[in-house]
Amino acid sequence: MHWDFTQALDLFLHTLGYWWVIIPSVLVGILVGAIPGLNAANTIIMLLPLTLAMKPEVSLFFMVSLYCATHLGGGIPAILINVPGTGGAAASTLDGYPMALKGLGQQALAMSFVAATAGGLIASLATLFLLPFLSRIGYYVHSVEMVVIMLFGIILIAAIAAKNMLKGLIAGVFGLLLGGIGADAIYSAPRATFGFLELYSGLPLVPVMIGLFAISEALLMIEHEIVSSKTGAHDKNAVWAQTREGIQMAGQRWWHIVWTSFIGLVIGIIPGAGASIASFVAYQQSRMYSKTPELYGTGHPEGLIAPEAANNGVGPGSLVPLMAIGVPGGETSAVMLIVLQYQGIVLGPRLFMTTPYLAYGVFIAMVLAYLFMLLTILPMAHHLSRITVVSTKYLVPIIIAFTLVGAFAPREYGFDMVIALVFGILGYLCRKTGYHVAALLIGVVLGPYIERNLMRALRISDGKVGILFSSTLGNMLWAMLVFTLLLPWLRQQWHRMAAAKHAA
Amino acid sequence: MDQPDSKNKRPAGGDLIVPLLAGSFAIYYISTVWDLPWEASASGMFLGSLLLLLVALFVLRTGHSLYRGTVSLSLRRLIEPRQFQGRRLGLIALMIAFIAVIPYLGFTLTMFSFLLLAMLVLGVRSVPRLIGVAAITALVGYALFIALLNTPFPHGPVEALLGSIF
Amino acid sequence: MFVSRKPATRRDFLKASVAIGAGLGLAPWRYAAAAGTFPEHKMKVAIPTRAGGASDRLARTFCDVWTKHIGVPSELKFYPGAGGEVGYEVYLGKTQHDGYNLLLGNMDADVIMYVLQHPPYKYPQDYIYFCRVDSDDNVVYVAKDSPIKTIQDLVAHAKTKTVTVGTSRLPHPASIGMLVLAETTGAHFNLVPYGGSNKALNAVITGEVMCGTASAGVAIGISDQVRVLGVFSDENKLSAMMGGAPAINKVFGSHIPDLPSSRAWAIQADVLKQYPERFEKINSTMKAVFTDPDYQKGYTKTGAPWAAVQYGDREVCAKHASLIIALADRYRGIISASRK
Repeated sequence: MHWDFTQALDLFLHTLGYWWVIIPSVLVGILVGAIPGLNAANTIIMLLPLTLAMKPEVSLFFMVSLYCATHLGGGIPAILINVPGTGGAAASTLDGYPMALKGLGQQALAMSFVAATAGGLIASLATLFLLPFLSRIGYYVHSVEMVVIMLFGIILIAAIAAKNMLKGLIAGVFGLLLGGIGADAIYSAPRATFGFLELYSGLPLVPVMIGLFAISEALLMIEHEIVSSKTGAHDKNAVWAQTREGIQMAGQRWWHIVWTSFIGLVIGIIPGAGASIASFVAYQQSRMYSKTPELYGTGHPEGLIAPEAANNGVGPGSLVPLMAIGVPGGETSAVMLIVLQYQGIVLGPRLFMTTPYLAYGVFIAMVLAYLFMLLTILPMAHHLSRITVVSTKYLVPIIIAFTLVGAFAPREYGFDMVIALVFGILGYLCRKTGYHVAALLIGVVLGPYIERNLMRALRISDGKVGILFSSTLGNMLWAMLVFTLLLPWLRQQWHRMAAAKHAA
Repeated sequence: MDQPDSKNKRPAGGDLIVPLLAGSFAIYYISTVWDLPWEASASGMFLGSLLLLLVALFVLRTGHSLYRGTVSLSLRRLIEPRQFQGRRLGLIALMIAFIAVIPYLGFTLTMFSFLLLAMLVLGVRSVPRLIGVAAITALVGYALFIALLNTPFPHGPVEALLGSIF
Repeated sequence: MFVSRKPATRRDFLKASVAIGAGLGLAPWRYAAAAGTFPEHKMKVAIPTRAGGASDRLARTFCDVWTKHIGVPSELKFYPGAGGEVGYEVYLGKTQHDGYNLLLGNMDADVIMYVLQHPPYKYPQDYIYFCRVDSDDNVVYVAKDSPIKTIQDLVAHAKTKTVTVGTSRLPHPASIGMLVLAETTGAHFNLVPYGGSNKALNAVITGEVMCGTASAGVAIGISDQVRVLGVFSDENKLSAMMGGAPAINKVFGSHIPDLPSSRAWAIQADVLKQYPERFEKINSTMKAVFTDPDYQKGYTKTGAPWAAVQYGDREVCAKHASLIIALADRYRGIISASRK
């Protein structure tokens, strides 16, 4: 359908008329995203009586806005207390939390809000205008390409573990093996489930993340009076200037936001890939191209901006296969599809013909959601950062209580709370003895995806490994991967030559 | 950073715990995939073997350092600072109790009890604060999880009471 | 969760419960009924898949109408995991066997799971299927722009070179259908499981695999992206919606058994012995749903074809389950890692 300016403006204003749905959805979404264990999919499911009772248009804008907002919300606890609210925010802890420890929590929050909303806006606008082109990405990125893309994330394990490679590799490979618990991708044969049916589908990611980050961090936090006193600096008198500073820091890195949001967008388009993959890959790429890679993990702004922009680029991307082909790309879009089918609306390419205002309205709603998000959450950075000065005697019990129930929420199994506790103790042991929980988590998150895609690719080729090098895009990605591995050494050589030349 | 003990040896006993857990898990994993078709067992065999190799290297490295006298098997790094261990174990015990009793007491009452006892363990002694923070937080949890989001947590006497009022 | 057509607010539900006078932890809804008349309170439905899925949608649609006939609402509870085994274990082991607890399962997939996973319960000694709700034939399809135009083309191609087939899972009736087709025609199919029908669909459309197999409802849902080549059935009732795709048996003169994906209500077997009158009421009221015009209205509103709705009684369900058990056993070595 071709739109002239008047029609486009009319569409925009029509969607804007639903501000009374979008704003509350955004606020609920941010809250949901900030609570580990809750995400858009299970929130929509829990609110099913509400969404089914709404008119289809209201229901659709509600779900889309909530979905986008959860990605932003997940970064808040990741930065302030090292507890990612959603899987996509796990990478944000790597540099976000060190910033909070240094007393830069407010700046970090402001920066992440700008990166998140800008990343989401860019991805939403790109999706709106480039949907037919973006939908073609799925025709080129298959199992082989996904294996290579995820190997970029795996490389991050080595980068994180740089100071003690053997320990880092043990943590990473341990995580990869833990990720292999459960039914295999081909025969659904259960592996290493300890006899528990609840592990048949694999380790549930949310309880594992809650344990490794939230509970282990809480067990460590009790050694300090407040969170940011670990390095002696805390912003007891947080002021608005710090929010402005965070906005400026994000603004100065606008190009970084743009290209990392596209990483999220592209990975979001691939069915089955999710925000956690996108954020780790973006972090790794950001680190790779940085002039100061050694600063990553110490509270480096780019180390926070990259995963936040990518994490929020995933949301619009994941709606591309649904709107372009009619096939949901992830759990949330699948739930949205079912909810609307119940109301007689079928999300998919036909919607652009039958109800174009609704179809295009999906993307306009995303754009508006991100704009409203920025306006509502940015003033909150000042207040939210005060969490870092709350006494741990109160903060720790609250963190543990909410995250334990958050572990229960996704599958409603008490067993998952036990998983969270077990991984909490494991995470504590790791932190105390110098093993990186981030490396462990990367393995747990990426391991199943890599195995699934690798086994699928080998199944297609009847076991011939050559399939891994059979596509042009795949080979380009392999070349990039090799370059990534060689880059630190190449840099070293270049510096050495430059130093020798200077000396001469 | 590690403080050397009296004989200037770095305490490395705690460092062996995670590798030993990892190695044990690797052996268990391999045992469960041993007779599965290759598609179901290949990655587990590869990763399990790699993990055992890494663990073996780590143990050898630690053994070599032990032999040279640069490390000891002390668990000091893990258990210090000692003054927090009691609180830590208390929190873990409370978490176990939380999981065990929530099906019977329900979400709100369990949360209230856990918060109150956990703050007590961590050293809060002001009774108004203990009860106030625990009660308000538990009610916020009720409002968010039960009333707003309708999360199907176990219901207990408090949920039944609040449900009949509202 | 309650199933109701009214715009639901918590306040409405809870006000009603106050009016009726709930006790601690007791079900708040009570419809006016004579003392001792079954049912006296809501029915509870266990669903062995996740909430928000196709079974959720079907259960709501069905229960919305069934409420009128049985006289009480239904509460849906979801127990996903282990290919459905979690749901069955919870249903059979942890719910009361009093006629108030039912299960709505994907009969074919769940029976295949039962054969391959050796769960601790026994079919049909511990539970039976008594009311088939829908019967969605499984189909073979290709991308719209595929050079393969007919099922004959596909089989001819597969006789010379192995054809990759995207499927949701190996232990699935659609997968078994392809194996039977291969055996019948001498074609070579390589089944590639994608862990979900949507992902398999995407793989076919984007060209990672040559064709796919799934339930008709999945393929019809995006009929502008795919071409259905044939149906695993003696007769294609939805031929018009599938571009005239033929029944595979008619094309090849074969006798591949009907292999639909069907959902059915199940109940604990001992309820039939201990509460036969309760079972009879459930059975008869459920049967009445199929002739209720509200059900057709609600079902077709979702875009699903009404022709897929096919009531099947106990005997039909039992016969079909036996067939699936036999097929799953026969192809156990291919669709599972188990060799016993």
